[in-house]
Amino acid sequence: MTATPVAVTESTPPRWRRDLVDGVRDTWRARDLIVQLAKRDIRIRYKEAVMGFLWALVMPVMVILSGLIIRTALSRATGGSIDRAVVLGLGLKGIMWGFFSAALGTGTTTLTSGGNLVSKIYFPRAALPIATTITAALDATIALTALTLAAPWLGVRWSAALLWVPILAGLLLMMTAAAVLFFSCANVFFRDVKYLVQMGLTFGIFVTPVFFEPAMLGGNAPYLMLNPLAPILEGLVLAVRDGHNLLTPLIASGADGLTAIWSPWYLGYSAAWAGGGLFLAAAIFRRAEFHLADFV
Amino acid sequence: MSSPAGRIEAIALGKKYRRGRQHDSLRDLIPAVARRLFSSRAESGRLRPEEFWALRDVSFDVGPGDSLGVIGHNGAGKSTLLRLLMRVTRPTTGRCRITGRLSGLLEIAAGFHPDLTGRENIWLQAAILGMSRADIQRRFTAIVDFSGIAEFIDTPVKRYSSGMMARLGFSIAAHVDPDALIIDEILAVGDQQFQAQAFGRIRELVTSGRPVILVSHQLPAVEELCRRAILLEHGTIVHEGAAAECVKHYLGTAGTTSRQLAEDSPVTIDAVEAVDADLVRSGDRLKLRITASVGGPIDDHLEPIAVILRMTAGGTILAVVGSREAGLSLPTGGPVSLAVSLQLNVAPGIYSIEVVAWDKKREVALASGPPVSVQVQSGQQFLGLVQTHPEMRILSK
Repeated sequence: MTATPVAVTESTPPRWRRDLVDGVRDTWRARDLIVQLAKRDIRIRYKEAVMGFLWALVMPVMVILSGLIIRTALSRATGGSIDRAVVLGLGLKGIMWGFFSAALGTGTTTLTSGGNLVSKIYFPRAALPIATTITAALDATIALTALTLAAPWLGVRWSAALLWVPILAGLLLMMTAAAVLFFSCANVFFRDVKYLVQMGLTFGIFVTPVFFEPAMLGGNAPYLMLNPLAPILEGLVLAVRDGHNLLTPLIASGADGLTAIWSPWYLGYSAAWAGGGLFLAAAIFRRAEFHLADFV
Repeated sequence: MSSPAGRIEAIALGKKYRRGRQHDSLRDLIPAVARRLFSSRAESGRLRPEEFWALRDVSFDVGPGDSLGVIGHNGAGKSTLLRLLMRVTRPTTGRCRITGRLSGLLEIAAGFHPDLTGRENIWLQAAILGMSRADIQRRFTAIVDFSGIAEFIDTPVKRYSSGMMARLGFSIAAHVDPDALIIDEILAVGDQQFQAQAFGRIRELVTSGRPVILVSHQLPAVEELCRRAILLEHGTIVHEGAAAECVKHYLGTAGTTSRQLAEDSPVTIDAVEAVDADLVRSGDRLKLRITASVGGPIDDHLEPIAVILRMTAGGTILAVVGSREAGLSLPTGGPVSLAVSLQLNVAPGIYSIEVVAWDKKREVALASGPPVSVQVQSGQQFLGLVQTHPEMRILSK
């Protein structure tokens, strides 16, 4: 045994600030557990599944195919055209949306389905929703790798703007983690939450620019950007497809005048949601953590 | 091995629970939040009508080399105490201080996933119990060897027997090597041989100098393994002392706490006493004397005095008898004394007897008397778990 200092743990009635600090520390210490839980999720999914890791590609491919159908219909009505850039945009946004919806969809019930565990053994509870998020992120990584292999064909512009990809991915990861933490613990206290989340994910794809581009909405495009996911998905496409630097605004001139497609403020708005949301969700989660066992 | 530096302290520990359903749906949230906003902080020490103390003002200090047994009836607060110490839930009042890493030998297979192999489950379960990657790697072989199921280690655990599952679960829990240890009723896993092996391991852990808390209905185990013990009754410590003496107190005397659980209960059970219960053998009659007060009229759906016979280990209810069922009508006003005699056609072991006023419509107890424990010794009348009053004759030669 190494001579580690002996830690004193106190369990007291809840206190806000100390709980948050302790929560972050405990979760960090539980990183081995998070890895094991993520491994479990992956093993279970691919065990006895014939297609194995190909399943990670199925969801984005479906999104691209349905997107192509919608875009074809739209182009017939408005007279636009479908090219490789559209496929690239659909692929990028499809993978990101797929990640968000998979993480939130399975993550919301992770504490209630692990009820047996939660009510009997103590471990930092955040490990469960975080592991689910990581599992979903691994799937997204596989799909992104496939997309990267196809990048030359899809017409990716190799520019410094590609450096935005990890930043945007980080913001999306934070935002997703925040949502999963919040909804997973809310679902323990109120079982209707999972239906709410399912509904939100089903209809969310219509208020998130996955199948369409904000520019198609013309002057209403900025309203769409109120959805904190929208600037992330849109920024990703602008950076990868157009090599656009996200710190500069982008204004398109169309038939009905000038349309603001991008503003650096969009990025700030999403970053605020990601940072603030994660902070709040972590605080709420920690606060609820020790009551979970009484409700599960 | 870790230095015996651990310590488990409970300081005026209290936990309040709500009877019945918690708010489970958004519909109930708004009134609950409103109540929280408008009630003062100081209220946490007081009780609302639907609340009760599962544990109240419990303090103890278990340092290196010490071992504490926790005994008491079902519902006395033992599980609540365990959950608080293990940080599964938080106290309402007071606090627990754990020095060093605490581990529990309880719910040993809770984290198992049926589709994963034994090997994969060891990694998972050990991580849930707080072991690091390096810890698991180092003790992996020891865990597998101890479990005795090395040849099935790459088989999914859904194909394991419950005995094999328990063996593996115990092996993992027993190899966490913590600074302080909590043990809950797990001395009965697997077959005879594994039980002996497990008990040996527990004895080893207890005598290693780590502070240990053992919560158990198996009184002989408490007497053997623990230096001292506390007796819980309705959430409070009613007796503490040397283990053997505490066990004797638990079996020898009737409890002291009677509770009125509903404010409008027309009945209170004031005292329950087992008469001449020093030596009870299987098949003997147990005599009880119950004192109750009937304040008001008794509704048809109320069983004013119900006697519940419960197997202390596991908490299975074996029999329920009631005064209304027996055709008694209790006089109103003033205390009533009642004699009850039960034939204990049960196997040797420890049983608890609870006397309650039972509302059959709402399915709740309105009042409960102090619980009584009886140790039934093996008798000459029958062998096995139940008395079957056997009749045998020879039909043909």
